[in-house]
Order: sequence, then structure tokens, then C-alpha cells
Amino acid sequence: MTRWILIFILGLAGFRPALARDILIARRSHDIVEQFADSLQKKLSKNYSLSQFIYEQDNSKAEQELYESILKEKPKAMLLLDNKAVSMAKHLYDSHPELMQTPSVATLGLNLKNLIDSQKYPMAGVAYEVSGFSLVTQYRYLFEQPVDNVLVLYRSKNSLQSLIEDARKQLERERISLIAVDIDKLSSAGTDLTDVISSQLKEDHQGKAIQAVWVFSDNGLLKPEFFKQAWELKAQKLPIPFLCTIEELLKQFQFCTFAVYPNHEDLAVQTSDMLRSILEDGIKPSELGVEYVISNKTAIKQGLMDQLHLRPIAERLNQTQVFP
Amino acid sequence: MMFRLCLLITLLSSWSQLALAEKRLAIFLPLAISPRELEKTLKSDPSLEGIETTVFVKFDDFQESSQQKPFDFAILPSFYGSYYSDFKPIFRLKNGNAETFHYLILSIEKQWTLEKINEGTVGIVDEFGRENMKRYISTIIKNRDIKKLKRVTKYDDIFPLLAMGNAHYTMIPQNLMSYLKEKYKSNPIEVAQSEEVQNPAIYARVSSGDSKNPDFSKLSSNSLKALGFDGLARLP
Repeated sequence: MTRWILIFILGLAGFRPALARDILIARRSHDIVEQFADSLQKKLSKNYSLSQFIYEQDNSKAEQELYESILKEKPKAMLLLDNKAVSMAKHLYDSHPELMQTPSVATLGLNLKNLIDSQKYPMAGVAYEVSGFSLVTQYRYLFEQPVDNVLVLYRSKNSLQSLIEDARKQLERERISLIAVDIDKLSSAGTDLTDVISSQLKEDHQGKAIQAVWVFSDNGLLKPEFFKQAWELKAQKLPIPFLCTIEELLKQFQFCTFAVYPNHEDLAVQTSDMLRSILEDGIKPSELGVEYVISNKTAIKQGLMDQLHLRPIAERLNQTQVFP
Repeated sequence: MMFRLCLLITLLSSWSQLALAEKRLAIFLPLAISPRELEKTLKSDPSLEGIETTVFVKFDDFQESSQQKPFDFAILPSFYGSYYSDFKPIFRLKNGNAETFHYLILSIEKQWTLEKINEGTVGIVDEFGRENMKRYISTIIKNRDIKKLKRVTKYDDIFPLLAMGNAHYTMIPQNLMSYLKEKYKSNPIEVAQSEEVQNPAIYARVSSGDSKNPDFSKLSSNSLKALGFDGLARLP
């Protein structure tokens, strides 16, 4: 009798014995990542139980702890929310083949299209970089400006060639020519990259007039020493807009006229749908691969717009943020 | 006695104002104009005076808001009533005499023909939630077993889905093609059309009762135009 009363009381208190969790979220301790994880929880918690493995960026034992967490929770799938989580998961798949039964979906990491081999690992993902296609077509629509040629500087050694090639093909369909300058080909050891970058940022290339510069999000090219002396200087001097995919670059500097960056709320839908298609529809991660982020937010820089005499179409501004 | 009468009149008057002010209308539709613009147009419509109007771009936002505080009326895609029974359609939106429309199924590469649709991924805007969208698609594209469905939350995102290779096909209501052409210069291939789908409807919440309903038959032509239509048909 006492046992039944106890069960009844525990039931009322919402007690659940320690159960395996369906989905394990591996993420670092960071405000933005935490908010994103909350959005994912909200989208998935109606159908799944979730747990989180949270690590500090400098925790050298994080991989072992993640493994222990997987053994404890026995998740059906994992969500990996940055490059470190992706790297740890890849090591664990290599060293513990039994984990190959546990698929994962990654996002919020950079260069995921190159880092994730969906044929080798049971991993799929959503790339965090906004594509050149989204950036340039949104700019053209908002400002109703003719855009025939767009300039982008990149480094082929940084394995970003595939993103450039994708963008070239996608923009070609939009009748926009992408003039991509490989900085690695123009420099060697001892070359001053500030000069190289500076000399390539110009308003005509190969006899073609450039209507916009796509600022590729590559830390190597945007290092502070190059940024001040080459990028920012040129953005203020040239009569063409610089388009960015990082909100902070637009907010904090007189640099980007227009920015497109991921909409986290919708990215959570895209990521959770990807995971659900693996768990519910039997679709393999290898069939999904790493796809582009689809839904974005936009921002404009008023001062630079005025300087370039650019006016957005008012009814298309919708939810575009305006910064002075 | 006089004091009590005054008090009663004041109470009745505040109650009736409150009752009117409490009526809420939600709009969740595929839109070609900005939600802010639509909200502005509807708020200036005399037939909706005293009605709190909110426009939603995303299905999830509409659902979440309805769950927190139910709406008395809503303008929604026609299948909504099949999946969520709390609403009853009272008017159908019309274009000319047409009360129905088709989705166009588009692809961007020649290899993705109608015959291969079962193998490909189909992108669509979420109108009823993930589970119901699967049922919806099997209703409006018959004899095809579409396994891979990719939903986006708004029409702004439907073409990029195709252009960036996240989906092999996308579906878009035929009246939104002009918006797509205004924004993009690519030439998508029209693979097929969906079955005929009824136009969106104005719904009244069943549990809300019929008293003090706004007269939707008097919706202004500006409001209808902003919604993407030009007339209304009263439903039995």
C-alpha cells in the first residue's frame, strides 16, 4: 500500500526515472549559442527529450566528457553547435565505430561544407555562411540597382574554393558575373598582403565595371592589420558598396553598406527539420549533406548609403535594420 | 436609485466597449506585400474598426500566438479548417470569379522532371506545421510519393531554396510568380501544377460565438487587394 501511495505522489510531482534522452545537444557556453539551443529545444521538445553537453572553449577534456555523455544519455541523434563540437564528433566516430549508429546534424560552425564529409561520417549540417547568391540578390532587390559584376577576394588555400564556385554558378543564373580574385595566387612568403588586397579592391577588373564588393568572411583576409589599412580605407574611398555577411562588420565600422546574416530563429527550424527527416523519414545524412542557410536578416548603413547616393525601395525594407 | 442607474449604464457601456475591443483578427497568408503594409491597410478599413488585427508571416508564430490567446477571426489558407477544427470558414476570398488556385511546381535544372519528383526534395512554405504539410502535399499532388519535403517559413525563402540546391523543386501559388520574377532573373522550369486548391478563407472561431461580428462582406477593396484578392463569397 505504502509503495502505491509513493508511486502516486511521485506521479503527481511529475517524477520521471532517469531515461535515455533522444537528442544530445553539444555546444559551448556562450549566450548566442545558448539562445539558439533554446530555440531548438522549443522546436523539438514536443516530440523528443533533449539534453545538453555544454563545454568551455578551452576545455581540453571536452571530447572525453562528450563521449561519457553519449554513453550515459544514449541519444538517437546529436546536434553539434560549433566547429569544436564537429571536430570532437568526428574524432569520436573514428575512435568508437559503434557511434556511427548515432547520426548528427551540425550548424553554427564555419566552413562546414568542407569540414563535414557526409559520405564518411553520419553527419549532415547547415552551413553558417550566407551565400554570395543571397547577399547579392537581396542587395539588388532592396536597392533596385543594376548588378552585372561583383568582386570577391578569397584564398583558395583555405579550401573555400567550393563556396566561390557555387556562388559563381548560382549568380550566373541571375545574370551576374562573379569576379573572384584568389589572393593566394597573388602572394608568396614575405608579400605584404595589405598591398595585395588594396590593389585588388578597385572599381573595374578585367575591363569590367564592378557594381559591388562581396566581403567574404575569412578571418585570414580580414585580420585587423589588413582591415584598417586596406578594406576599411577602400570601402570609404571607392564609389561602390561593400556587402557583408557579418552583422558586426556593418554595425561597428564605416565599412559595409549592406549586410545579410543568418536568421537564428529560422535556422533552428531548418536544423531541426533536417534532424527530424533523419529520425522520422529514414533519410540518411549522406543524402542531405551540408546545405546553405536559407533564411536571413538584413541591415543597411545609412551614412555609407548617403555617401554612395543609394536609396532602398521603402516598401521592400520590411524588417531591415537601419544603422547610422 | 439614480446613482445605481448611472453605475449600471457606465458598467454596461464599458462592458460593451470591452467586448468589442476584445475581438481579434489574425492573418496568416502567403503574401506578396510586407506584413506591416497589410496591417496598415487593414487598420484603416472602416469595416474592421475596433478589431485588433495582427498579420503573421510565419505559421509557428500564428499558432503560438493563438495558443496564448485565441483569435476570434482569422484569414487563413483553405486547408486550415481540415487540420484545426476550432475555426469555421465564413467567407472565401475570390479573384474575379475564381475561388481556387494552383501551385506551380518549379525546378531549375532540366533533369528534375515530374517523373523524378519522388526522388527529389520538394520545398514549400509551411502553412500548417510539419506533419500536416506532409498530408497536405499528398492531397494536392496525387499519385506521387514525395518523401523529402523541405519547409521554409516565408515566401521570401522559397526561391533561394531552389537556387542554392537545398531543394530540387519548389511549390509556389501561381499568383506569387510575378513577385518571384521581380526579385530574380533566373528562369525556373514549370514542371507541373498541383491539384486545384480552394482560396484562403475568413474563419470565425467556433467557440467565440456569433455576437458583434464585424461585417466582413464590407471589407474595402483596398484591404482585399492588399490580401491579394478582389472579392468575397459568403459560405453556407
